[in-house]
Amino acid sequence: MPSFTQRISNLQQVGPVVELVITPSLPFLQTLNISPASTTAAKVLAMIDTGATGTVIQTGIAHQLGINPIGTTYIHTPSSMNVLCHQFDVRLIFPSNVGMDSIVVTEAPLQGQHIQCLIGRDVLQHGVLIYTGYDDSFTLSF
Amino acid sequence: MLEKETKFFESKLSELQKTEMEKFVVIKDEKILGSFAAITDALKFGYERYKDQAFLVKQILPTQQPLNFANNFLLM
Repeated sequence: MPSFTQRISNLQQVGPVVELVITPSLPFLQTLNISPASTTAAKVLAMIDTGATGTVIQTGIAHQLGINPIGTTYIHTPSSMNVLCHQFDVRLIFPSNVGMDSIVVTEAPLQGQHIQCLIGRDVLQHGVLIYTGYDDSFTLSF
Repeated sequence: MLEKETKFFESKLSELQKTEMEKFVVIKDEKILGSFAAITDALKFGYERYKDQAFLVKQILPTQQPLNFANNFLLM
């Protein structure tokens, strides 16, 4: 089972964050005969968020990747209800080349410049997340 | 983008629930172009037909669940 482990100093304060690469999905690239090596990619800092139903990317990343929406969804947050957001089909590449070739993510504005992606339970449902608090590390396997 | 398709989908949802339950439908403008058992097939159909243009893929479910977020990362 492919996996990666991240060690974060002060994991409790910082949270389970990881740098990952987002590109258009592999099915999109294959259907349009675009080489994955030549496509635009966005390198982002993501937080693993077990409190999120779905994965979110920062507003503007899809435009940077040159892709159009393939869906819409309503989202609820602690401060708002039923906000309509666009969804995009993307590829997520974690460290050690662990990843998902096609997953539908939601685009929404994330606070500050620190985190540009939340990895939600739609991704986690395919894998195993081990949070080892005393070791300041976490492991994600698919 | 996709506001027209979303409104059309919502207006047709009760009809679609009778015949297309759990399938993924592809909608462009105000037309349902196909329904598929897997989202990968629905997306492939959309890419082949519309290339890099926007189109709507929706799964037909008894209730359309919103996404929920417990934290305050989202600015909304």
